[in-house]
Amino acid sequence: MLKDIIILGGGSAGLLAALTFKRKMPELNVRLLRSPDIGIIGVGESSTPNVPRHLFDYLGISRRKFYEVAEPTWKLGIHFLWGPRSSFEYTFEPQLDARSPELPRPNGYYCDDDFSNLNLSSALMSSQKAFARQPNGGLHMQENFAFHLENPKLVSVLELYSRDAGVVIIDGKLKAAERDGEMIMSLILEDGQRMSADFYVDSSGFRSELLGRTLEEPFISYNNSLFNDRAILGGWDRTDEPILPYTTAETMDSGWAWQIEHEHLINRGYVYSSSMLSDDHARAEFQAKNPKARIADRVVKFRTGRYRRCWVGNVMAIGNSSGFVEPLESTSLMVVCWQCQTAVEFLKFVGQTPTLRNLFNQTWANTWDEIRDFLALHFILNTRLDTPYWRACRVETNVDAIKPLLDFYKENGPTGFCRTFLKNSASQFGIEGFLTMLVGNQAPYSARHHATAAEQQLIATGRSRFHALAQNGLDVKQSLAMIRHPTWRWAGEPVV
Amino acid sequence: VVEAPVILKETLVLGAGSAGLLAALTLKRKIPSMNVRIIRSPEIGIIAVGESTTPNLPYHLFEYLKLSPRRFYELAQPTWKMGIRYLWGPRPSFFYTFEPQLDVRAVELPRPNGFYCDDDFTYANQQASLALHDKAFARAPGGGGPDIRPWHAFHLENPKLVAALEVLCVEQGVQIIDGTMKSAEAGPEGIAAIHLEDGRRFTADFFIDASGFRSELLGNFLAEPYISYSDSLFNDRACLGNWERTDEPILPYTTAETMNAGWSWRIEHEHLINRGYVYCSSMISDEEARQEFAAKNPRAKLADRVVKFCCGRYRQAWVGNVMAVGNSCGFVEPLESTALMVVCGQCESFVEMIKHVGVSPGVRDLLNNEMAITWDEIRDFLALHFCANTRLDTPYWHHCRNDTNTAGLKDLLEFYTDNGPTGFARGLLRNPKSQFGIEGFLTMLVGNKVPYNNRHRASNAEIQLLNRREAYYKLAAQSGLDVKQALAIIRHPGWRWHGEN
Repeated sequence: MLKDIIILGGGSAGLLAALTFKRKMPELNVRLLRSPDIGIIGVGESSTPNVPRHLFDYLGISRRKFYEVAEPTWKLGIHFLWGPRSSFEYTFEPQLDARSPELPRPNGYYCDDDFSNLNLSSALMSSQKAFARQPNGGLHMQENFAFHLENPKLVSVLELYSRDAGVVIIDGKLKAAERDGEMIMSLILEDGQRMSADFYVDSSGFRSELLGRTLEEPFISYNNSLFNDRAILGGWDRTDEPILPYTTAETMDSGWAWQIEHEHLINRGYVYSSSMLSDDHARAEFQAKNPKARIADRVVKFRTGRYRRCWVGNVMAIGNSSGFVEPLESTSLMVVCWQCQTAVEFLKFVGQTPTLRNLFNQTWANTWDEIRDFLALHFILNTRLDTPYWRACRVETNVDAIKPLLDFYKENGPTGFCRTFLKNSASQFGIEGFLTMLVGNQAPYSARHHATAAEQQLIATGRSRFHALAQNGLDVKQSLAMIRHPTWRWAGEPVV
Repeated sequence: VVEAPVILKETLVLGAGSAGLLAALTLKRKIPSMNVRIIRSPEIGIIAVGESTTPNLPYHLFEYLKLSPRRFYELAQPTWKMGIRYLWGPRPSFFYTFEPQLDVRAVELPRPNGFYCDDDFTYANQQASLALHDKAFARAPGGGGPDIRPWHAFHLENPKLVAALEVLCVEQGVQIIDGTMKSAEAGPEGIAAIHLEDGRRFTADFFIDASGFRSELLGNFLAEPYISYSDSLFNDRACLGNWERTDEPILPYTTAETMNAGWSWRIEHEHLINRGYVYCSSMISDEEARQEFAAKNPRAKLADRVVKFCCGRYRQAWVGNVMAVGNSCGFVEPLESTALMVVCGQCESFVEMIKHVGVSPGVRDLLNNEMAITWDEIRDFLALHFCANTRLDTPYWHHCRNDTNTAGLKDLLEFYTDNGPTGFARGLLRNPKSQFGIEGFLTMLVGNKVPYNNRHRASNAEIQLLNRREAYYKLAAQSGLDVKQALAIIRHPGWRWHGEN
């Protein structure tokens, strides 16, 4: 049985790991080594719905306290300025892997011209609303949302919870790690201190101190599927801009830009390929699009890919130290939460065995590779701009791993049966995500369905119902005011 | 509701056994605009063994096709099956129930159930506890009637099932044609028409081959290759016998009993007990098999006929405009009562695909791939039954333990040896739509006491919790209803099925 665990790194990944281990295995001695010199990349974090689920449902953290300290805003999905449509919404609630019982075909076959208002989330996004109302006018909080989080606030709230749970946070800098075969024996700090444990979590970010540097696990690059390798960041204080209930992903000349909606801050970043665009040109394009933005001096350089395994011997890398892709689908914390949960469940209910490690590594690798393919699909399909960068994306992006799925789609169209071609993975997107990209970008297929007048009528009725609900809904500002009102009660809280 | 455009207008089903009738009923009920005809050969008898199902059949009839349970119970007179009782491996017996026993963990306990079943694999869930007391159902809260949950299956007498399906087919508008096929006529898609002995010729745009082992269209006419499972499953014959029930209780499960050179089923009909001995002809003669069978079942009237079979599947179930269902598409011995399960699943997939996507080479490949995975998983699951059974020391069982090909199970077995009966092994299943799930594989591993390393020693507190659970289940089982009592209740004029007024 595990007794002692050391977590290397005090960013969101390391803190989430520490918190998860300590809350789920309270008898475990959890120490977190935090380097005071290393800054936080400090971009806004945009999550997927498994992050609130991890915190509230899995870890049982109080919603009230989290909302008070971390001050998240809600994200219902991603608003894509992408492909030939003016825009489309990717929601966390199924839009395309769904069929209304009165219609012969799933939704996707009716979206040639109009891909809007197919479900409540999509209608809310189009109407810039966060939640629908209950019959009594109150906020109806459905659970298909994720968060926008300011990284410093997230880190402080996780620190707070970790300390409360009994995690020991130690400030110190790693000098070296001692290795014996595939095992880490101890960590040696700059001040000469030596620390050892039965198990180590490497959350040291891109440096991957234990997994990459000390254990020399090979890195598998994704650079033939994903061409971007740099990002510049900027933001401005919100004045009269509405707080949008989604993350925006916008096509740029040589990459794409995110826009994340914090309550008082708008955070943007331009992700591009350094072989197609200089940093200066990137800045110029970014500034022109965002005249109010203060652009950070620093250029974030990254390589996309994953280590061959994330769990080697007594080390598990969690977060950027195990793998990284650009944040186009906000996948970083999604994988972190899955890793933390699965590691805890495995170690708590089974133990450490080679076959269990293999199973973990295999599912984790499938998950990253599926994310790679999902992102690659975003690039190969986007016909919005005719720049050299996008021409290269459309022609050269490697999507070999999903060729059977794409062939099936080309023949049969947007049916959920495409799911058969996905492997066993922990990705939250599933076939819904792939179909959204295919339909959103109007990727052609042969088996077109010609909707009868009766079908068109039914689809139109459904759309206007969602649209009406959304129009009557509450925007982010109104919703924040409601949950901050003293009479608001979260699920499970006693009514006063 | 807007109907799907009719892709296939005319379907001809060859064969009116349970597979052909289920296929016709499913197509006609789900795509009413399709013209569905069945050719029923008056000369061909029904194998007429008792049919034992999985929960897929009641699901298919009542949930998927939304047929009335009242009508079906009246016509087919099923009894309930809550699982299989295995007289198998070193334990006196164990149950494989439809409700999970092993892929579950009580919230108060640190390990899932399987880690506590070294010595005692009873009272692991309510259904197994009821079965141990020969009870079918717990009493519903309040009323005292049977609490009928979705996880039940049926025992059905084949002639009654066939008669019931015929009535239901005709009610839905399926046309039954009596006649014997003489030949098939080739067409651009595969088959253009079927000629009968009496000279009639029937065309269609799609053909369902439900002609049983003969596989007239898929195997004979289209010459699709057959993939044998004989290196994983050694049995190739069965002899059958029945007797009239007198004072034997109607047991709420199918029994699977280890025999010297194979295994024997026991199916519980209301007035009849049906048994069969499945064996390997290279290890035992028909005569010896009959003798062993008769000695175990002194009251049984043995049928003269020996059923011969070859386990395996055709490479593809759907070729051109022909799809085979049932024995004409693949067959394994009925150790896990999989025949109707596969038929129902295949009919559902076919209907969903052609109705909501269409007919295309990609859709056909998808269905064929799904069928291949389904069959191969059943092969592996059954192979596990044979390689894990240490009950008898006969040459047959030595052969099974030493020579059964379990290559498809290698990763799973390694994982089990390392980690024990944990549900995490589900990550190693090849079939994401597995009907047994990891629950089935764990039941065979734990039931047969297959050894593993990562043993858990239960603390006193854990043992107390387990004892309390056992006492609770025992009490609930004692107050449960047996099959006879439950049949009387559902036949009472005051009984209402779910959804009835």
